[in-house]
Amino acid sequence: MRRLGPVLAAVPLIALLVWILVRSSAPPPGTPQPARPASAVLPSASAVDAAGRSTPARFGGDGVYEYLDGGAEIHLARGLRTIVVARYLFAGEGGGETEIEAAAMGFEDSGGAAASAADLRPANGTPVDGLAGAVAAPGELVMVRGRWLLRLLAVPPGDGIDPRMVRLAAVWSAMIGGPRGGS
Amino acid sequence: MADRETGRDRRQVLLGLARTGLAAGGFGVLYHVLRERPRERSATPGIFDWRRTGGQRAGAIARGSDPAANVRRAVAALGGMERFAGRGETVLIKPNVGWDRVPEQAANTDPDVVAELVRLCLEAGAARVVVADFPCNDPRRSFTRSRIGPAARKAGATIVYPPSLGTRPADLPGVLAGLEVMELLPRADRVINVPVVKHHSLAKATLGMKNWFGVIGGGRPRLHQGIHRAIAELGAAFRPTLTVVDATRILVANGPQGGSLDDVRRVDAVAAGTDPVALDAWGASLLGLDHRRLGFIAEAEKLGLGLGDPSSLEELGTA
Repeated sequence: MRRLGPVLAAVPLIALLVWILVRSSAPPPGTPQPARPASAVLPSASAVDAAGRSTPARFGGDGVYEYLDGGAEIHLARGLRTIVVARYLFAGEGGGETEIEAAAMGFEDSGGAAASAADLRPANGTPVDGLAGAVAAPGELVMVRGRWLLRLLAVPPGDGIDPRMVRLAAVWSAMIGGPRGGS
Repeated sequence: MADRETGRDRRQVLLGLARTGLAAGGFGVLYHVLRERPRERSATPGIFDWRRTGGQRAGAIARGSDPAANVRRAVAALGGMERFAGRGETVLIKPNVGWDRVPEQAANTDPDVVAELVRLCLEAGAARVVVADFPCNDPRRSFTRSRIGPAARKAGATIVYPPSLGTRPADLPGVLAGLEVMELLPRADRVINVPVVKHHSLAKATLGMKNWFGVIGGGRPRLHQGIHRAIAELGAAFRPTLTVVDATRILVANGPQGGSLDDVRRVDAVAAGTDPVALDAWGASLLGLDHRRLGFIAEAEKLGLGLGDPSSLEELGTA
């Protein structure tokens, strides 16, 4: 018992040391999560059967103004952290081409993504069958996956819901991760 | 005695001559200084003022399905382009070419509006018409996709955008201090501002005065803090010869970038005028906004830039 005395007395001290170590190694609340590489945010051209894809461009911090100008402010207030943009080129049936601009917006949390999606959803859009969280209209599709928001815009917009946009969104959704939207 | 007086007279004559010489020399030096000062000022000007005096009307609104015809009618109602673009002058046209969007998306000025203005300036005798902007998106793509580049070039304009277009220091006042401007500005004899009517998520509307964001080089994000004051100060710093507001198609939501065709409304109107505040008030009314409650219009009125009253514009009706 005399031997155990000093050991027992040291237990609270050890617990305190462990607690301090754990606290110091954990990132403080609100610390940005490590950014995915831009190539891991949007699918490759071959994954969506596109003829080509531009190199994804990443806009973060004040850089989002370069892509959204004054429109950035409202999304930044909702915790927008990064935007990754790329353009996919698809061959048209009549020989023409369709270009789909894909913008994936990463927010601090899913609430921010959902709030911005509510703004960006096409006014006359309808839910997309088999693609939870997606709303589409001719030439346009908006989808939320956890803390990520995807916006697709097609030129020319076409008459109906473009199946290539739906496929792109489905591949992106699987890529970006689980319901929390990955990192 | 007489000799002494004669000597004094001679001395006085000589002194008079010396004074006259000094005064003439001083005048010459002063003339040189004053002549040089405007040149120095134009190198780093605080205010860019391209206005021309005269004219009774604040502006005119023309409606119809042909944007070019609307431009012609609105400008004609103000006395014709000869009133704004003189023979041999260099005219800079500043449309909104901010976005990599097609005209149907209404994120940029309509290309037919820009092209018609180029034609009118050249017909009025302008030696050179330059169409320039600092787009938010990729410049080459923005000028091509908006169709402003090809249309304006075909009409006879020179198209300039980054990286060929640089910036230069400007001694801008207030919140604009320290910002650089489009290098072409001091070289333009006349400037025509050609905004498109759009919703703006922060300022509620982006119109003529906001269109000056596009002549600022870097540092635009900082202007979004206190945006209403910043827009009014831009309006005070850049005084165009003519403002032509394009409302062929307007963007009613998700501006300024837009993208969704659901957010576009066809209005088929163009307003031209010399009161940028009245023209902005008119544009705001198309977006369903009460111009009296728009911060940047109130600020611009306070700065004496114009009258936020769209009724001061003459309604020409539909062609």
